[in-house]
Amino acid sequence: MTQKKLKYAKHLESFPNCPPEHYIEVDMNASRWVHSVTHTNDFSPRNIISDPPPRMLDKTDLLCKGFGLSLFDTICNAFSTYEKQYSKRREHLKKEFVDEYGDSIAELKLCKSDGLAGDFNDATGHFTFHEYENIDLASRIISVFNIFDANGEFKQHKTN
Amino acid sequence: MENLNNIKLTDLGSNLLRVGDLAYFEGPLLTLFENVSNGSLYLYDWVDRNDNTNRWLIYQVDSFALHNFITSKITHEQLFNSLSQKKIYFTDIVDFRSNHKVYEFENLPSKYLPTQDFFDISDCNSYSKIKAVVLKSLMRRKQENQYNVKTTGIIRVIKSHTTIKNRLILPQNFDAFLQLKELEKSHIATVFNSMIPKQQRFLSSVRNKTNKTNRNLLCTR
Repeated sequence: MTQKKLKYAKHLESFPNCPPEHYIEVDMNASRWVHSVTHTNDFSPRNIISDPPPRMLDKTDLLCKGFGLSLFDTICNAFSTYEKQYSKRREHLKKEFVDEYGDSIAELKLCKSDGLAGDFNDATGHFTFHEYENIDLASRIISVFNIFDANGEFKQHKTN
Repeated sequence: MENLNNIKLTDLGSNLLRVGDLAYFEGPLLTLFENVSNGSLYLYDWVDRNDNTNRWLIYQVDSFALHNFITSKITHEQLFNSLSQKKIYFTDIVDFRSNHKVYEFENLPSKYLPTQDFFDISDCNSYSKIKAVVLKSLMRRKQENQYNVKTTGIIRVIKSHTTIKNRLILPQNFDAFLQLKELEKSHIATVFNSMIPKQQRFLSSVRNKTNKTNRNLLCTR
């Protein structure tokens, strides 16, 4: 594994093999759920965010990957998972979902010097990304797409 | 977050052992627990949250219905509606590092009712373990039902004898019957052979009659 320091190294030390050794540096475009209006949580890992409170039943829910960022390999996959997870929520929790995860999808340009990626899910296109120290992924945004249209319905998105 | 009525602290949480998450997305959404004292199954169902607290409903589920849910035969709503024990609990977790308290309450808010979604295995991070626990619970239930039916049958046979002839079944025979875990005809024969001849003659005469009630006296299940 690289010698570069990870942004949340201090937290990662609590977990064995975190991030796992199979994580690699990548040079690719990726997508992430963000807020249309810049939000402090947009590029914060789940375990760092305190508002909203982390959904955890006990200590076993505190995972290594919670200190990484959830990214998707394509805009389409980011849309699909968002729509799927949103639709499963009880009605009153749908607004909570949007407040927490945002209402837009940002496309980013990831470089090898940005961090380590791994646990790629072939079905959903999701992967976990651990940033290196002093990296600001917000500056890597290429474009931002709204998830909802003016009527609050899901926007149709191209298959890519 | 909804205010819940008539809440009462219980000790349910101390008996529950986490099995795995039926639905997980950046945290548990629907989680299976097992009561270590009696093997009954409970679901923790995430339903609400505010600035510092997450809330889960907790309810006991029937293993048969849960199996139908994880094999996508029924929806989450149908699973919830099948609850035999209508008592529902909740827990509000502020600090996941501490043991959480479980409360009874009354009047479930309608917005907490489950959706009509089916189980999605792609959201489940421990399907094999969950299925194993559910199947184990089903097997245990089947064995208990078989034992209860057979034991009931035995007791009914014994009681029917005693109502006809109070001295027919000697105390030691009755106790011997109750100690039997498996009802086989050979066991009945063993007890029959241990009876005094007068009792044996009576039971033989009963067996030969065509009366349905009498036939039932000696039937096994």
